[in-house]
Amino acid sequence: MSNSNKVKILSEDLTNKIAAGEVVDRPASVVKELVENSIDAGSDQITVVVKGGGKSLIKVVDNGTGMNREDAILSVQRHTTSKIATYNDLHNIHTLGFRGEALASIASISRMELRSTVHNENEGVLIKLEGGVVEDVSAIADVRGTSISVKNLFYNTPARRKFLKQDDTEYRYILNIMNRFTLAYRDIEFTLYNNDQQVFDLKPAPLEKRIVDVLGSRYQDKIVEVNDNHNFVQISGYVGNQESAKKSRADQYLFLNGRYIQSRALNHAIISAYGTILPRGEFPMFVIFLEIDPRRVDVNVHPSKMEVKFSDERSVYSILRGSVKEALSTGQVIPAFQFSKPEVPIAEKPRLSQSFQTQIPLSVFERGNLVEAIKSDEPVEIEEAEVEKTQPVKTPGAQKHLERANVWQVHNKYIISEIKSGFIIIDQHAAHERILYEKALHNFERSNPSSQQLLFPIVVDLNADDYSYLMEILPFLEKLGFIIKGFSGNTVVVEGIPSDVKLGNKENIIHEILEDYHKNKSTGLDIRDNVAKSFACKSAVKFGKKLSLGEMNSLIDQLFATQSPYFCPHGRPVIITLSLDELNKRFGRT
Amino acid sequence: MHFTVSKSVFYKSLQKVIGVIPTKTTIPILENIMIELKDNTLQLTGTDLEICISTELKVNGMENGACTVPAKSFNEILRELPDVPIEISLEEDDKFHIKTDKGLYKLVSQPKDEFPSIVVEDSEGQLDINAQILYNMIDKTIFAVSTDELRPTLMGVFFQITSDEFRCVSTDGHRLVKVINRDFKSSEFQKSVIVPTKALSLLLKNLDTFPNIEKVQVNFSIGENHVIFRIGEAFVYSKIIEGQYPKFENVIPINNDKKMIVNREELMSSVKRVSIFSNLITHQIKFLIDENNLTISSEDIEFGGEGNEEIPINYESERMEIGYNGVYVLDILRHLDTDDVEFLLKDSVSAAIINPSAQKQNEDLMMLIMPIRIKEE
Repeated sequence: MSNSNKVKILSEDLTNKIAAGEVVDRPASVVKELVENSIDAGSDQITVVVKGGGKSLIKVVDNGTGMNREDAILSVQRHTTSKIATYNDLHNIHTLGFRGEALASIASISRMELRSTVHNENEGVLIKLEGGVVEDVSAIADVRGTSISVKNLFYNTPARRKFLKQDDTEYRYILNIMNRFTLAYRDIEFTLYNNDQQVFDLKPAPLEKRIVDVLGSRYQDKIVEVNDNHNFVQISGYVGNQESAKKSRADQYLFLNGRYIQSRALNHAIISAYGTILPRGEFPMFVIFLEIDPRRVDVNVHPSKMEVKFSDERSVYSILRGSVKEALSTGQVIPAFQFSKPEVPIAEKPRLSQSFQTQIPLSVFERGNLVEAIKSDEPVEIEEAEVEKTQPVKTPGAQKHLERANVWQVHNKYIISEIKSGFIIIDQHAAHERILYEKALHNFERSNPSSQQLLFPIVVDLNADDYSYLMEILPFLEKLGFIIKGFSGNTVVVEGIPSDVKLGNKENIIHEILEDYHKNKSTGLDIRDNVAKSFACKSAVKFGKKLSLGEMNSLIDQLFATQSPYFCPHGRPVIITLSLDELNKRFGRT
Repeated sequence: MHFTVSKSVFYKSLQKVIGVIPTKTTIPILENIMIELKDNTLQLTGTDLEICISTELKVNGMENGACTVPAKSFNEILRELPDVPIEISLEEDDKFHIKTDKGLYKLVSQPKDEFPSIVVEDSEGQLDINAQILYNMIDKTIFAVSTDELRPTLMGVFFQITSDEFRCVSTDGHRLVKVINRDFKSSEFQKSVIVPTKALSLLLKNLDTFPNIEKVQVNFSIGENHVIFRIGEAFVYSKIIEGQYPKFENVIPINNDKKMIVNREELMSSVKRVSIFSNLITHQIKFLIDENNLTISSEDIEFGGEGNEEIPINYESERMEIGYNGVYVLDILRHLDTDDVEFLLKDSVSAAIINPSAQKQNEDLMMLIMPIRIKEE
């Protein structure tokens, strides 16, 4: 009979090991759990010692309240915590840890030694555990605080051990975790040793100094303070200015009630506050602290506690964005771009404040005027030599078609064209983006896409997340001219691409569209608008691509055939006009 | 180094090498050309580190030696000189003297040993092929090579040598060309390599300089990571493109049973005219293929232009409507040379095969084009 019982209750040892995998997936998570405990114990000095990327040793020593013998023995058992006692406490969490599984989990997959002494007691306790089993409990004489050393992590879970990366990589994860603590708890002195060498010894310091100490002197004098109070959220911290922007998102730290969190939406709120100050592909540094009533957030979403749920994410988003914007505008982050009217606050007129546009009466931007200005430009004969074979076709139906001989491309990025009253500068990428965007919206309505079939279909591997996004937008992509078929699992095959996508973009275009879509989604864009924007942005002619005269003319023609040629779908300007008057003024010819 | 030579002879030889010299390089010496005299034979060599071209010519040698000189200035002075004898010498101060009855020009030379030398590894096999045949094969494939740097393996022509066939294949994912030749002497080796476009177009330029190319033999040898084309004393060396060429055989359809035969010149000029009214970015044109009649049309929705032409064809299957990129169609037609061409079709979304109406002796030429799918409202 006993053989027929397939379902068994797991032994406690095994459940601990499984649970441990949830909480502790690498040495860095051990560091995180132990340091959190030390912080919750009210320590003001925490020393972390790691060896071999934390695989051979992790030791965390603090001077916190400590535990007595009974508490210490209990602490290494599962679901024991001093931090919450009732369900109601769960909604009022002020400490970092609360599940009561950390120590037991770590103990179950390592050889652990726990020393703890309560303040003012003469005798401390030393507990030795192996694989979660208490081997020895003895009395010791020690100073106040707790010291926990974890050796041979994952020694009894070889599968997990195999997934660990090289020592250096694991150490970097640990360092990353330590950065979060050192930035969040400036009143605590943190010391870190790696393989017997001191990495840092950070004395208590204000945040501004900590940022430079921790993230590097590149941020010295290049950060702007953010400080804002709203009825239910307080925002404080620092953001980097555009000079200190990096090509990676590495130096971005967001804390909620002292706990490091990851939130795509809130990251986006901060980055979008920069508007167009930052070039594409560069990311600002930020260390931002949010204080929100614990009852309005749910941190009990995932064991690693990095994701949180807000009861009102949209408000938090807009408040955060506004605060950062304001800080940037008052912090004079944009002077380099601005040579007129520096008093224009970025929050109100972010687009106009960075270009010559502010010096030109706004009425010039009304569409009629500019088109008029170009139209009235006297047609000039195009020299034979300049004209390429692909010169645009002049058809009677092309109302907007204008003869332009004086068109140049500078730095393969901008197109300059002479008009009667001066000249215009066109951002080639933004212009094409606007054209494709409107075309895409148009195509959603019409449904007669043309699609260049591919001889070698492109196989695109997606993760589950991206795959679900793709399914969401697939009908729209098909209307644009993509032919995408499912293959197996999360792999799809692209058999055709819109015939106006230039060669060279196609390999990555699906990934890029999804990434962009993903990003825009958090801002609550309408799905059509979002797909059209992402598609337009990723298929448009790149900044830096050489264009022939024919292509430039065609681009300008199509641009002026659009509904609003002056702004790209992201709201950046497409055209800048510089009038002769303006030039005369600058050259002192008034 | 000291020799005399006629300007026209020297200038002609220099043209074979000059094309490889990079105009923008971080290594200045590459802008130089190497000149080496041994008795009465002068060797000219240029390289961009990927490709190396060398040629030899007969001169009146007086003193052996070698050096490198800036290729651009040297080429320009030779071009501007009338056809007169020139006397060239390398002086003590490393000045390179070019003397004619008109005057004396001096260039600053650099020593030979600063010039990168190409280490040629052992070849794994070689074959001799008639220059005219090789020229045609490269000429017919090179236009369809991809310029997409994200797929480097498509940025060259794929050479495939089997015991009885010599094949050239090129594709950019939208069209594909395959030429097979059986008229060559192989020393029983089989090998496939991808040769970069630049090397091949330089080779074509080199072959262009021969007045009777059909009598010239090219020795084509392949090493582990290089190829060398030798034409007499001259050679073109090139690194090959590493990587796996796509399995093109799998995508060439075999069951395209609808055959359209059309006059090449006629189709070409129709497509040219109709294309004028196609969208400038997509170059999209439409073939409406009906019994013995082909309607070619285009429409530029943005600007409202339209073009429409009908030409007689030989076609007996059902009516079909297929979209193509007009530029691709023209490219292909231009590289075929028979009066009629044959389209083998399946449906409006599958690859079409375009063949010459008759194959040359010992040759098998096939071109392929992917359509643009047009969905009607």
